[in-house]
Amino acid sequence: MQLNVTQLLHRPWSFFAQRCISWAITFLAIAITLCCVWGLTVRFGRSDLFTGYSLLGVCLLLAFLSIRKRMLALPIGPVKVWLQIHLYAGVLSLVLFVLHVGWFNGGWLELMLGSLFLWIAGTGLYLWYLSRRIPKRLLAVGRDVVLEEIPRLQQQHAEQAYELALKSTQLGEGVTLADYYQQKLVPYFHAPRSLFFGIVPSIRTRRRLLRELDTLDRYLGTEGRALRNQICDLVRKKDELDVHWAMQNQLRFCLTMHIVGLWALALLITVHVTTVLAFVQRG
Amino acid sequence: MHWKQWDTPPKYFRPADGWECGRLRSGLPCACGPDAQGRCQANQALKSGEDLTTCKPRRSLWWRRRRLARAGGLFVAGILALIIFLGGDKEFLAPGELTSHHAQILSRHTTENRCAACHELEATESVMAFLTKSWSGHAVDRQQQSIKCLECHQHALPNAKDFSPHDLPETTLAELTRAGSGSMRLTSFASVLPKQALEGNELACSGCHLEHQGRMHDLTMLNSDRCQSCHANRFASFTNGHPEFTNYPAHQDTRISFNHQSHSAKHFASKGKSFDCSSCHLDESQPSAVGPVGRSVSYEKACAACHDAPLRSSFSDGILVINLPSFDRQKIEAAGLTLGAWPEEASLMTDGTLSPILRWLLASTPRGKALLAKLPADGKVTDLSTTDLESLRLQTEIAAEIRLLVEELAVGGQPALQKRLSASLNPTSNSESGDGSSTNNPAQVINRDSQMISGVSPDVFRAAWLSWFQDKNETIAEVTFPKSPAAVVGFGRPSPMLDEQLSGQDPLLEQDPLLAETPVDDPLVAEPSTSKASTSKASNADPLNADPLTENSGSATFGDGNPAKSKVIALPDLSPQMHLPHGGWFVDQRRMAIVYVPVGHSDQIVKSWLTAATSKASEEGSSHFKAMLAPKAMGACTECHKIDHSAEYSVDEKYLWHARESDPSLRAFTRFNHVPHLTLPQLNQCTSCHSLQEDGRFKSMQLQNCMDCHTKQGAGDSCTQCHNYHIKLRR
Amino acid sequence: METTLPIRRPKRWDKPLDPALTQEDAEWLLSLAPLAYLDPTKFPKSTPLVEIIRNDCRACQYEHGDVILREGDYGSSAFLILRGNVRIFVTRLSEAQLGRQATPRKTWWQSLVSTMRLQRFAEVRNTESLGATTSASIAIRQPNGQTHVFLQDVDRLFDTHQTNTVKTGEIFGELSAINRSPRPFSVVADGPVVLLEIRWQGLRLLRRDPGFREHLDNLYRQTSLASHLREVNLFRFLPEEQLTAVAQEIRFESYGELEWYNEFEETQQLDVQKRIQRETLIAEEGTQADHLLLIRSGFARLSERQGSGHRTLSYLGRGHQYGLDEITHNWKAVDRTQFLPYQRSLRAIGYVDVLRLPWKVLHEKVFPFVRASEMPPAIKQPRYEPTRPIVDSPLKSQSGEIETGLVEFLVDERLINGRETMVIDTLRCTRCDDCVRACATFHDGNPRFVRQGPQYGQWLFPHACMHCSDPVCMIGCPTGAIARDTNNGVVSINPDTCIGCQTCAESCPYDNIRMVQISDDRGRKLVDEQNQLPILQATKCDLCQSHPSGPACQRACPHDALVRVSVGDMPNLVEWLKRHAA
Repeated sequence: MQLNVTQLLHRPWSFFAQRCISWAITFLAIAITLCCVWGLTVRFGRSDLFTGYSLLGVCLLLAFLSIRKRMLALPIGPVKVWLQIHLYAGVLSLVLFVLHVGWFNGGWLELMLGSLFLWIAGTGLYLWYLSRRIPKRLLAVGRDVVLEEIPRLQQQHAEQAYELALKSTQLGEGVTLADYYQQKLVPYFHAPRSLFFGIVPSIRTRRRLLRELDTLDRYLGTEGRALRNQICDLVRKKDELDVHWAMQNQLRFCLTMHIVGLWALALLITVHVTTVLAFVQRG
Repeated sequence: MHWKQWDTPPKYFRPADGWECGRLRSGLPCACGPDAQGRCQANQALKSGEDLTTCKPRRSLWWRRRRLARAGGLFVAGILALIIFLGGDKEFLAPGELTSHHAQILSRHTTENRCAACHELEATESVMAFLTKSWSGHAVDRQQQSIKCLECHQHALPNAKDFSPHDLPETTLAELTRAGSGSMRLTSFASVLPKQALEGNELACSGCHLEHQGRMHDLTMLNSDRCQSCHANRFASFTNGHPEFTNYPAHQDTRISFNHQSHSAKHFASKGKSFDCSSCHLDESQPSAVGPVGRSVSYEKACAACHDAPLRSSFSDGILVINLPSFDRQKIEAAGLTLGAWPEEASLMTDGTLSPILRWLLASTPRGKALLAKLPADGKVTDLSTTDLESLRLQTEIAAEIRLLVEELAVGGQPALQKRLSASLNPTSNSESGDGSSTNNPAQVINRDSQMISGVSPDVFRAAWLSWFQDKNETIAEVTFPKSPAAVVGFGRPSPMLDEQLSGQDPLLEQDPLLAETPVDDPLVAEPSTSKASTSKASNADPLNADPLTENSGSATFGDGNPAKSKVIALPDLSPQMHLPHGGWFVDQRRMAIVYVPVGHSDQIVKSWLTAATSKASEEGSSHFKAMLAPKAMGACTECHKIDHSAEYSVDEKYLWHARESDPSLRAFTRFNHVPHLTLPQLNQCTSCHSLQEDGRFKSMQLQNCMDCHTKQGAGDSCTQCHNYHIKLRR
Repeated sequence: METTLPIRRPKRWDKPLDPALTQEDAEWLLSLAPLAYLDPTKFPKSTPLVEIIRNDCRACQYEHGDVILREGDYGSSAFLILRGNVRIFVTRLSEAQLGRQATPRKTWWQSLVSTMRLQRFAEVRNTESLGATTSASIAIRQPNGQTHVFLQDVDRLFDTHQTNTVKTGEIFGELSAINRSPRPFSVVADGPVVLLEIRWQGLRLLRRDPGFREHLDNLYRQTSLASHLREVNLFRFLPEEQLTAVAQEIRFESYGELEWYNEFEETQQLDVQKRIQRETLIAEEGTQADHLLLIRSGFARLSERQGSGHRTLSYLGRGHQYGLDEITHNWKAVDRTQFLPYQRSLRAIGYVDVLRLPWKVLHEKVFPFVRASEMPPAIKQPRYEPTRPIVDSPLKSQSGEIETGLVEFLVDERLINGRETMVIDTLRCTRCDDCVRACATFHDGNPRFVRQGPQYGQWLFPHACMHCSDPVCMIGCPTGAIARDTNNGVVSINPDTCIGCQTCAESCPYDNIRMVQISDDRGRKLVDEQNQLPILQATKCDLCQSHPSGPACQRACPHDALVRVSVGDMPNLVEWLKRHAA
């Protein structure tokens, strides 16, 4: 019995349990905040100061993730824990933000600060979504490639495709395959994909090319078809690599967007806090 | 597909480096990669089997990411620096727009002054200076800003300046609390909270009125829970726990005594009229604080219909101003006293009563006062004995005094009357100087006095004198015929009292042109002399002896002296109903009195007489005058119009002529606007809220009346909907 | 600026194990038994016998009670007793008695400072301490170095514990040295002894002499057997005489290819069926279950016939048994007609050492002493019965187990070898490269693994050292630069002694060792002074063992997608996989 208990304690939580607990804590925090705000308002207290200070605190907590990433050696728990804290603290911060600001009413220093905060929060939320979506998408692609490796592989594929096309001309089965390669595959293998593809990668182009390649079969002999199959394989690989390139870059881009505002926000917060407190002192 | 087939074991990727090989994106990165300075090291990778074409290394992603973030920070810092140090405009610190009301006031100021208008900062000081100063921690008055608010709002909220709850002093609050806190009921979470620890004068305006919340922000909005936080008696909402209405609308005794109950039940019912509130109270033309609903209505609109006729009839035979009592001449003369000139009609028996005004006029002289003192309070002479010598002497003296009064008035006219009035209105000034000058009286008093006598013509007095006191015993020879009865006064043998009274200083006597004038043959004078002669002597030869009109001395002189032209008119007795339906002064020969017939309701003269009568100053001066207030006399007024002796009103307001009107400068705890309510069909019957009691008062309204509509979802149940926060009570 | 620095290329035997050892000493040693039996003609010109002795051996002295070998150590040396006796502890000594102490680590503050310092150049080495530039400051890493651990009142321990004595002229510790397996027992000096330490590089060369090899095997069978049997649950509570009786019956067998990793590359290309065919069959399903097989070292595939192929059910490692179920079933059976044959086949993955024990011995000598609770249950639905035909069981992945495909994969890729394998759940991994960056910061800006590698479904096994239970990379390192930490078995490369011969990189079947071009602290690439070729060094994951925080990759993963787990012990792995597969 004793043994079981200890086992229970040592076994890590399931991710679902983790999520439940985290949300529970978050909502609890939100509830407490709301109560405090209401109480203060009713009692002629400075609820705006309360929300302001707590928002400041939460922002510091959020910022701590990047510090933790920079100083990995600090003995304060693995990054995964801090990311979870970051996510749910982010939710809390949004609530606090709404409580604190309410709605923009002029005052462009506040406008800058608020919109910057919302920008960071928005990108953060999108990142959250991406971190759930990207892995599924990439797993569907199948093989896993490191970003830095992709250009090299694409180079390889392009060359292989070129060689295959070249070889097809020497088969004496006409230049159908070579022509097709010239018209359609050269841009496909060498030119970068569209911006839209970069955002929402789709396999439409790949499907089209493969379909068209299939229709070429009737003009090809057995060796030609063998080559055609290899080219199809290359087309598939190239497309997979493109998806990887798109998704991984998308993540990096969004992360950059998320981080860009960091120092600006910190600065604006400082100005905001100093002035506000100055006026509070003056009544 | 097996991973080995495509995964040629790659070299380490170095995502943490500051630089990446320039040919990474082209797919042909070199093994060595760039160094920390971003120099391509392909040439160092000699013989390592790489191709030797050098590249131009690019910054790595994470490096650019970090640099970008810093750049953003610097950018914002730059903007702020520009504003703070170059621009010096403090307005960018404003957290939000002002409400349109404040904004439009400030729109004319320059930007510096705009902040300084409400905030404690010099117009010229820079942002940094301001910040540093406020952080240097100098003494700070919490109310600075509120004081600035009141610079403009002082007039609206005169008591707000001591920043106490509801602008009320501690004591008032305390007793209100004592009155209010009956049962502490824990019906809301607000009531569980500890009470707000606010000192008496700590409330800043910004506590409730938060600015910089946008143009459309409602500054006067107040969360009902906030009220709860201070109040002793807390409850969840208006519909749940609000104290019952004990006395709303608050009952205050009306100045015009009007009994709704009796009118609706008796009077209107008897006349078969419907007692419709709106017929009196609904007046679109004059919207008041409570909408088009008039609290009071004009006499003409409401009362005249029924009350005008009786009012006029009650006044129809007028008010006795000066009336002659009658004395028993025989007994007086038998006692060896002289009654002096006195109409025969009033010389038969001792009878009559001195009218209040007469008594009051007599009281204006010390002697008169003394004489009145010997009379009974109601001025009856009827009971005076006709045997006792003293009372007989008293009677003669009264007669003389009255005669003197009439003579004085006949001679002096309005000024003389006014002198008498003011003399008795303020006996102090009267006692020191013979002529009661009204110099030390307030202007209104003078005004009132003149009102009291306005419109009275001296002819009335002269006619009275002529008809009453012309000495019948004068011989014709001695008689010079005056043009006007006034002149006669001069020629009449003055009684000793009269001598003292007018010892030659009478302006009328001195510069009377008639004195020097040679007497002219005047038929008017001649005739009576002859008639008197004829009446005194044997005058059978005179054709006019049998003149039936000779009895009527008042009209005796008409048409005389010129028989040829003379035209006989039968003059009926003056009767106010017939001759003075619209009021005025006249001499009533039957009652031997000078009479004033009022014009009807709200007669200015009567009003002024009554006012004077009730005015403080005249109270002891003319105690007899109280009689005027008896319903018999003008007292009819007092059936509706009350007297308020409380010191609340100034001297002349004592008589509550007008219904009470709400004082716009006051702000009660509760306010109510009929307008939105009357639009509701079920409410436009006044009785749906206001129900009568037996005693003619209105029942207090019930909470239930309001609760049906005033819920959170319905018409709203916030405290401020019916209650004011800033209060100004009377005194 | 000058971009290269010429130096002399490091060579094998640059650093003899004992520089003091002279040619004469070597020849004198060769005159002693059993070295005298060695036949010099069996040795090639490049590595003559004398050189081996001179470079790969050294004499060392131990006082009474000194600990020579500690149980569980990953030894890399065998010892020949020149004088005196030593005692082998058959029953275990506690860790404390063995005087183990953790290897010194940075305090977290030191590690913080070291990780915050930005390294300006890639792969910087201290040119002073490089093995190339001979400096006396370097001590070559030894499992039991100069510091000897002394046992308190060793005599009492000798009394209380069961020990075997090894006498002069005998060799001990060679089996673990040869098999790269941890020391099965502790060895303590009984009185002052003089030992000739032969590092296993030399030992492998000596095995070219058939006599010596035979001698090793015999010696090995006698010495290690008893203590190994004690490790098996079945025999733990067996009385001494029973155990010795059992030991008599046991046959020691060795299957498969010791140098399996040589042909691993090309077998990968083969078809699955063929690969399994090539694996040497130890016991086949359907045949009479007449022996219990105990895996002593290496790995074996437990499979059953599925259609025309073989389905891997699990893999057996050191300490696992094969056939126990059937034999216990038969023991409960009433008569022989109901005896069941083996239900599964056992094949050698790489090499396997097994102990064979006849079923009769079990029935008579062992089972009576085993608690019923520890006995495996009877087989409910046997696939193979004497009378019935063979039927395929449907492909079902039994709950609590990982899907068979993954098992096959792990076995095929030999990932079962891993003790600290990096596994990435690609369903959580966002490819943010934080792990790589973290790894770099913990190693002076140089990553030590590649986030890429064999993948099965969502499970990615990147190219990061697995610190294998069978560390084949250590085979053939001429300088012993690549070695195992005696406490935690972490395999790490000593940059001071690595000569960049690429042996380990090539022998690693998982491509987890990278050769890098090194430079000095001014960013100059080091090249050979003779031929200007760049000087390379082998690098790999060292599990951040010098840092208190443990492996940085696992610590830095924001999405809880990366773990260092031992694929070797299934339950641990299964728990993690199940958590992530949910």
